[in-house]
Amino acid sequence: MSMESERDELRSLMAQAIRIELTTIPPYATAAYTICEVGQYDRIAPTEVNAEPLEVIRQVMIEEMLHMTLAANILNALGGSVILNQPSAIPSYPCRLLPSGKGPEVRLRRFSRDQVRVFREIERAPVNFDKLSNGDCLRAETIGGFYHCVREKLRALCRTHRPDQVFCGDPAWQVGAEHYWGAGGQAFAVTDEASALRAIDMIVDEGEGADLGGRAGDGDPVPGTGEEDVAHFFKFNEILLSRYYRADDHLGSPPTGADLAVDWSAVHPMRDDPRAEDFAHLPEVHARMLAFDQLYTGFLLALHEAFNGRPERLREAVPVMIKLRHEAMALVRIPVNDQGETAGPGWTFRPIYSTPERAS
Amino acid sequence: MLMAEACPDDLLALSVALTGYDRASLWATGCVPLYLAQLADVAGPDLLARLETAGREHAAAVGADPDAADRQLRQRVLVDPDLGPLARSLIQLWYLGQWTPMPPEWVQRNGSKLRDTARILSSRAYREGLVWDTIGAHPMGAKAPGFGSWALPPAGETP
Amino acid sequence: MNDAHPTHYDAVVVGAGISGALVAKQLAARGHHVLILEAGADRGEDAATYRSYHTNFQLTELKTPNSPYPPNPSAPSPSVLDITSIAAGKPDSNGYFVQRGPNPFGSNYTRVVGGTTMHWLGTCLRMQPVDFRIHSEFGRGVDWPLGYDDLAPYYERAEWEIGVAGDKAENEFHGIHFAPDYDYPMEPIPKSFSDRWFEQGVAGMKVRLNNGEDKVLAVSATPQGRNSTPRPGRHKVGGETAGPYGSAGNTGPFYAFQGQRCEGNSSCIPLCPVQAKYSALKTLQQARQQKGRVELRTQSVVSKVDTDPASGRVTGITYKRYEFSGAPVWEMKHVTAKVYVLATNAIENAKLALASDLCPSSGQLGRNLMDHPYVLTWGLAPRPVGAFRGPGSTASIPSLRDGRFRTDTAATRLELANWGWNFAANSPYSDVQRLVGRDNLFGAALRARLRDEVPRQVRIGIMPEQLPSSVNRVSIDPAWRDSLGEPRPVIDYSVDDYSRAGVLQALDVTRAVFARLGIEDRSVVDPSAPGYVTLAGRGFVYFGAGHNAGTHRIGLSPRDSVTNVDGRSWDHDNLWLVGCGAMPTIATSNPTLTMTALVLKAADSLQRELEGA
Ligand SMILES: Cc1cc2nc3c(=O)[nH]c(=O)nc-3n(C[C@H](O)[C@H](O)[C@H](O)COP(=O)(O)OP(=O)(O)OC[C@H]3O[C@@H](n4cnc5c(N)ncnc54)[C@H](O)[C@@H]3O)c2cc1C
Ligand code: SF4
Repeated sequence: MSMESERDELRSLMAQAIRIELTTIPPYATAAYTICEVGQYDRIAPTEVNAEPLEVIRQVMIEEMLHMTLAANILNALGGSVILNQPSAIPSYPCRLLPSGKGPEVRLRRFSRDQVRVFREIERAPVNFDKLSNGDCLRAETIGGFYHCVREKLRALCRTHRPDQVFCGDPAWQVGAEHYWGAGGQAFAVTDEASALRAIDMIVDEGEGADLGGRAGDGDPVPGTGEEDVAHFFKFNEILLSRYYRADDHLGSPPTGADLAVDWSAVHPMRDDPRAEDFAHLPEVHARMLAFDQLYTGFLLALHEAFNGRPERLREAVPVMIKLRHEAMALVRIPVNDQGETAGPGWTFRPIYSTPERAS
Repeated sequence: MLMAEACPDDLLALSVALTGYDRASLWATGCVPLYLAQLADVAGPDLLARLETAGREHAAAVGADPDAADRQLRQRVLVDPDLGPLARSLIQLWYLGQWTPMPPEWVQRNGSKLRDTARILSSRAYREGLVWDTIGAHPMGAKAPGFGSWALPPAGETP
Repeated sequence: MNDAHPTHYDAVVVGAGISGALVAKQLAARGHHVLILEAGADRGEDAATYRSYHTNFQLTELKTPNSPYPPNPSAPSPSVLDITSIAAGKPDSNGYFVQRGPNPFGSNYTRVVGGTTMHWLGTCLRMQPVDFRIHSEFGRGVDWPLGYDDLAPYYERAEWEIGVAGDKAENEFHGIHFAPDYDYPMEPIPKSFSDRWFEQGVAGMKVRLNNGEDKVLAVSATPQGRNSTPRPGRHKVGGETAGPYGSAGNTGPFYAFQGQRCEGNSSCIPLCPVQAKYSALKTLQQARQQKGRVELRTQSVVSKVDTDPASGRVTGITYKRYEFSGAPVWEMKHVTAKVYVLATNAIENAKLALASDLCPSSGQLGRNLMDHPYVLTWGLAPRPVGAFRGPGSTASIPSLRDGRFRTDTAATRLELANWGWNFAANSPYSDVQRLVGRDNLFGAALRARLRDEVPRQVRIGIMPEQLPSSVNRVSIDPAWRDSLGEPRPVIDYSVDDYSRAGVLQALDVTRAVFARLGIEDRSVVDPSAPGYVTLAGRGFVYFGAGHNAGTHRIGLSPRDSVTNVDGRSWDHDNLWLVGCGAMPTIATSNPTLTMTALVLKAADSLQRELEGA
């Protein structure tokens, strides 16, 4: 293959990577926002419940945002362009996680054991690497396998070509810590092989665990504590097992950290895979769900601009992300039928639709 | 999840009329059962039934002539010595998440009620007070709008 | 005594607030073993406690600075709710303080792990160079034993310890200057929309003061201890290269002790939900990661500093360990160390030292108590300015912080507030109550009125300088004790005519600003309020600012100061007193940054002492 076509292949793989990271965010967010965090049972003495699982999922979500940003940095470094302003680039649910159609089916569902098991599946490490390394990345069966394959291809390309041929993107398009700083680690610019590999490693380590040796720790110190953070796969397992991992715990053995209290019943009964169209008979709900989609669309369009030469726009995306959270939390409290099922966020990209006045 | 003891429909209609927010928005606070139960506890069954009737009638009339429906509500409920204080406390409950106790005259007429105390009903009630949405802000200490959002023009304004 | 803990340390620090935590961190960084004794309750550091503070705050109707923190009878704190008018000869003992007046002392503090920075606002202004010598310049107060340039390297270090977000250029006025290779660790916190509206409105506005002096008003962004974005690149900080500032947000069950970026929760006082705002918990956490061991012993109220009458040296510290808050009994314990540091804040330091008969030479211990008597003015802007968004205050008008008028009128800082009339009138609660209860509004009409009025609320706070005075003081009286038998602070306090004149001058200026910007003045002055005072027939109401200072001032001589410039007691060779009590004057800046600079200077001398240098 020529240098150009190899680079093109890598670019399209990175575009897939961005799509994979993006695919995980709405389901994680939806599950988190259906959790009742307070005052559900006893109106005389409202108690704080489920603050911890909510926090755990929130951390994962924030890291996924960071992963998507790093993937975009790699793609931009390779001189490709990130597309987040076209319906075809935006997942709609239910869908498959990976281009191969393998991996769990991803749906928008309330917080439940089943859904958290799916999340754990999403973050599961591949069993056998050799099988994956020399193949078609698009046929990878796990996220980890996919990145492993991409990593090998990137290294191969860098072995045979000059850095400036491979990393021909405009450095000004890179998103750095100055644009992206909050929780979940720091973004950094990708300008060469080392930083590109570091970005891939960070994505993989925070997902399934460092070194893929089955250790829980992800190699990242939690700032200010000197402790090591644990990978996503383990975080979801923490919720299922009601106990925190310690960094030195291993896959296959139970976590040995502190209790993590989870109340599976304190959850809003959101209808699975909610879509605005399904609620046309309830105009107030319909309008609110469309308004949510509109907000999400605006969020993606802001990201699109941020990743296409205006990294400073990422700052503006943050308040929108927060609004999405509050709107989603509001939607899952609105009952839509006699069984008490509720509306929910549809995460549907609707670029040309304009919001009607909310009938309130 | 705790559901209101009675069918909340009419009281919800009353709440819509009193707050100016639609049903979906009231449900979206997640506080419907909590607030209606608080209202029921203080009002007692008879006054509650009268409030339900008022809510039902307003809902039926508002489509045709909103002003007339509001006038009627004012006369039937807000100036009524028994219903008026309940309605005003209900509005404040929706807007502030906080119950305002009945005035002495009301207590003289209806007796004192166990739950008729000044308090914020729950931390969710605090966070979901409608006033924050009304003024285009967010409850202090919750629902933070994000870094730098305070530098933007107030909602509904062009830069 | 049968005690599992060791009883001898390199240093014993009393108080786990910012002052104590910084001393512990610096000494531990050098490998010294430090014990911190803290009066507040156990588990003050963990995530569940932090969350419970947050819930308490949301559930209390009157959201005062201390509302998140459960009352602790074993280590009581003053509350703003206790303040009443004081009748002559009849002390007000409603709360923890015993107030002898004539004016009430309106400030408070918090005795929990982390101290008062748990609920401070985080404003981090430097003093102006001239503030260090107001006696020479204006014949008022006293001069400091050191100048701005002496303190500058410590200011730099203090700003990096706290993680101040700021912009040098916005703060270079009245002689304040920064080293060219220095910068704040974080990018500035953006000014609020309301700040900018004021900024445009007052641009070029000239006011003539009563002494004939002209002032041109300007708005300046406030440096603040609040996470924004770390400034890239490296900088010279106190002579050493540092940066970029590395406190990224936290994840994991360890909770976000370094905090996230400020999200605009707008509840900095009394508690930041995401720890974007600096609190001493951050420094305590860092102190634990140093080479030396740092032990934090909570529920330990220091009762007495023991001294050897012959040498004056401190021989140990006696404290009371209580088992739970309000416990009727406690255990007396004793520890010893090479050096001792009192860091319990201006009022508690003075109280503890007085109760232990310390520092008698100068007669200044407990005296010169200062605060900023804080005065509010508020109004309705002609357009929505977006009230109730962002940190409590992000800018101020510094124009009256200096001028020739300071010979007879106090300097003032005009603080622009972002939370409407919340502090002034309990908005938006009072607005809803008024519109529903008094104006009988409901439905769409109610919504429209709130929407129209509340986002137009503006408020300016006036912070006048208060001079040191020997009659404003903390003392103790065996008649007044708390449930542990510890003395309660007895306070004599008054706001003198100098400060009052400063307030009146500032009120005239704010009135002119209101007129120019078309703001309808809605300020209410209630003559029955405890903080009501007058000058020349004009009255206003002041509140406490929480800026308790002055009670153990530093100085050049044991005759007129309690400690030397390093906070080392003149009378007790191995005792240091640190905190805002060290400040000879308070100027018009919130005191903690200057205090922190002094604490770091004291920590250097402690380090030298321990290392025999
Ligand atoms: C509402 C409010 C807002 C403020 N905002 C600002 C601001 O914006 N900017 C600014 O510069 N300053 C501000 N301040 C002032 C600032 O909070 C203080 O200057 C600062 O906290 C002082 O730090 P410290 O460590 O010396 O004392 P503290 O923070 O008070 O800590 C003292 C510690 O000692 C402990 N302690 C007390 N007595 C004993 C004892 N006998 N034994 C053992 N332990 C004891 C206490 O429990 C506490 O933990 C504000 C204050 C208040 C009240
Ligand atoms: S505005 Fe909020 S997030 Fe920012 S410091 Fe204050 S309370 Fe914290």
